[in-house]
Amino acid sequence: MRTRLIVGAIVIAGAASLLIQAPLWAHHAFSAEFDANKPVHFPDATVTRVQLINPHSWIYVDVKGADGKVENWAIEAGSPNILMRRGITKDTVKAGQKIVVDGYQSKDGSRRANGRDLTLPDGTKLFLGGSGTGAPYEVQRPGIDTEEK
Amino acid sequence: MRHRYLASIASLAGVVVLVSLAVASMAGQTTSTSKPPALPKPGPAPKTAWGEPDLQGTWFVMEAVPFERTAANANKPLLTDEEVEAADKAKAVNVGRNARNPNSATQDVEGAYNAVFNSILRTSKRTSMIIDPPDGRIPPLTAEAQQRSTPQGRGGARGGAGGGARGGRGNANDNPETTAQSPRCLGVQMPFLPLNTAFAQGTVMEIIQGPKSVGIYMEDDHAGGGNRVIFLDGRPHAPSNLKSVLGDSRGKWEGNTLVVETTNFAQGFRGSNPDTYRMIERYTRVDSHNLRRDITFDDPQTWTRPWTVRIEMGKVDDSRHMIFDSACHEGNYGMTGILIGARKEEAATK
Amino acid sequence: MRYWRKSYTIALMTGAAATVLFLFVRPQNAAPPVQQTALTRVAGKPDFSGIWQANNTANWDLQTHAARPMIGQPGLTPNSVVLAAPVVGLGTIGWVPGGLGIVEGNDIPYLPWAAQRKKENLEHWMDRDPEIKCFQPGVPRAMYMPYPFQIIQSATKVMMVFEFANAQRTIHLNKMEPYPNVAFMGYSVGRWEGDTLVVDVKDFTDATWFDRSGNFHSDALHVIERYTPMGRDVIRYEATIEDPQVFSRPWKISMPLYRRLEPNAQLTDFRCVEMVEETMYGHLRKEQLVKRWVGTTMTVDVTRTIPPGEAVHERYISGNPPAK
Repeated sequence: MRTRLIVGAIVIAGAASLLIQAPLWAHHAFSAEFDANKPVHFPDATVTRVQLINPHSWIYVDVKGADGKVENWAIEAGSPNILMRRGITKDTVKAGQKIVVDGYQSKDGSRRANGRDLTLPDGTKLFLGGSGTGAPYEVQRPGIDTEEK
Repeated sequence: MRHRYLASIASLAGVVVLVSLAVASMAGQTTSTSKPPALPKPGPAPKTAWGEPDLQGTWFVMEAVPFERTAANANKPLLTDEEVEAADKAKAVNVGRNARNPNSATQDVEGAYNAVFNSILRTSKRTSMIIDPPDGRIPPLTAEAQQRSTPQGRGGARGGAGGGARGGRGNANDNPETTAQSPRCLGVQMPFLPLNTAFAQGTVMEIIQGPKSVGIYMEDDHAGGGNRVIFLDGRPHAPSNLKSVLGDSRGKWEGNTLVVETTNFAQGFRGSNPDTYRMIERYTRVDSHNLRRDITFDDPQTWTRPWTVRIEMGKVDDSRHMIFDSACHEGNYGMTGILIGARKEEAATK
Repeated sequence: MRYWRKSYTIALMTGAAATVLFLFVRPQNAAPPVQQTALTRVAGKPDFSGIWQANNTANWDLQTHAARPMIGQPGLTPNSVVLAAPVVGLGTIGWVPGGLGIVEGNDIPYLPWAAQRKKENLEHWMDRDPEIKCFQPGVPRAMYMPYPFQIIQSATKVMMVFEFANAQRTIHLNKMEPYPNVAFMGYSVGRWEGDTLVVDVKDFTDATWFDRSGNFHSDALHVIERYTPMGRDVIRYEATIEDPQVFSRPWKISMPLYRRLEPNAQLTDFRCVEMVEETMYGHLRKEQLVKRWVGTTMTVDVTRTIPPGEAVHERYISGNPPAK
């Protein structure tokens, strides 16, 4: 009878499809920082600044509060490194750009939220722009994917 | 031009350009519709200016390989082409984190962010990273290690998850030290295996090579990266009481393979004893496109025999930026957010 | 005649005895003889691989300065200073050692607003110095931190791994596309001019300083370095610093970098992220951990407070002008 230590490993079933949802233990516990009871929806947010940093990028947006006054919110997004391998740069999203933010406000009530969905006004995902999806492989196998068959 | 990937034929023999599928970026750039030009087949492994096999470059794990072979795949070291194709098809249509849960706000929060921030690797034919033992599974633990792994015997593995807060039972978010490894931004965990490929962890490294030393930068996506140095000048390991999170590495060439022994770890791996645990890597430049990294894990106090994983990596065009700075602690607003969030919740329940 | 032969013989035997002594009796761990060692080369260029360290007080203060408290307050008599509360228990160790600066002309040409900001930075050093928070030190500061660093050099890259925080910078000698982001350690492109390595560094963040005295820059910082070998074991390091948002003209630093010659010199871990968790997050613990210290003549009681509202989330408090 073998004892198996399961420390920091994913055991992936053989030929089953690999889900791209990362196991929760492996990552930042979002629900510890953001409040599921405080959803936010900003249909008309204007980007003021983008910080492509780890562990999470931050997109700062101006939104109109209930009283009509403009507030600046910090929206947490994902790590930029994968984006940069696809050609995104720190200048891709420009100040003045309109985006739609769907997320959850931070538990301490500050003007911070996680960007559960960040889309452009036409509904396409931020950073993917106007294309369809396709298989978003980050890199290709040299000599295999990049050869004429 | 920057947002449009083109294959190009390198002037240097053996340099391979990597082309990613064109994913259109923001308005203003156009989607590439033309096929990349044909590339030559992999050439022979190149050598450095001083005549040794050249391990240099930015290297990617290109295919997802399960860590251990499942029972379902016993005696089956390779999947069939059909199985691989089916798995890849399923990945392509799996919306992953784009799926929101309208019925559970908690699950919806946890599911952040959407899939644009995730990586997907193609499915490999290999059914396990472990190549030795041949059954693709970690060998049995020694009796002593089994005893260590029980709750009574469990030691404080560095960077372990939650628990163990001073003063007895506590919540992981009571203190920064007890939040999980990732929010602390403590950097790469050795041996840097490609286990969490959705976040590109363990999948990309850059090797810089001189005649007497080698440096390896391990990006590790958002966890803080890590930089190793390997001495090739025959010097002994550091004194045994000088521990290091990335270990103390010494390498020597055996034929075309760089054999690197790493000891003096500050922490074990999968419960191994840092005082007796060592890691032996074998780096082989297979051909112009490919690097093989075999890692043997040896600890007679933990496993009944050494075991070995194989990681195959592909090269990326040297003129492109495909590996990035991974400064994490500097931008770690999340740690403050997690802790203040927990304090506010506690205040609210008082 | 015989006298001459006798003294010759004595000289010969003395010389032989000395040789015997030298060859067989010298201490086992004798320091290597002092001599000019020849440069080794890799791919035809001077090989800078190895362990290096600066040996000056630049990380305390880029400019020439006398000894002063790390954190001070007015003393009893006019124009005197004493250690202030955060460091008073440290005695001598709480004082910054004096030293000659590395700035050519000893003048840092701040614009007027920036000169004032530098003064404030020095006053609020403990709140603002990114080094205290274990942030990666940037360039050129990493080159004169009081910790060794290791250079690994190939024909196409020069990698520097710093003991401090396991920070790293890679100098690209091959042609690269532009870097798509900013980085704490900047982005470095190098080329050889004869035996001098010339490195162009930019794409910095707005979050690093030059030293512990509040000398700072904006994200427009641009650094041009020159590494010139002075024999195998010393590098003459020069850096020209430009930042039109902060300085009225470029200015220059220069200093030697010394190879660490101890046998088997290597880096040891100084992974300071864990070291600063109490400092940076101690006020956010469920229960305060560091509370009180009782010494022979002094007791220190610590009160932690949580900054109100959004201020608790502030992280880059360097005083640097923010990136646009």
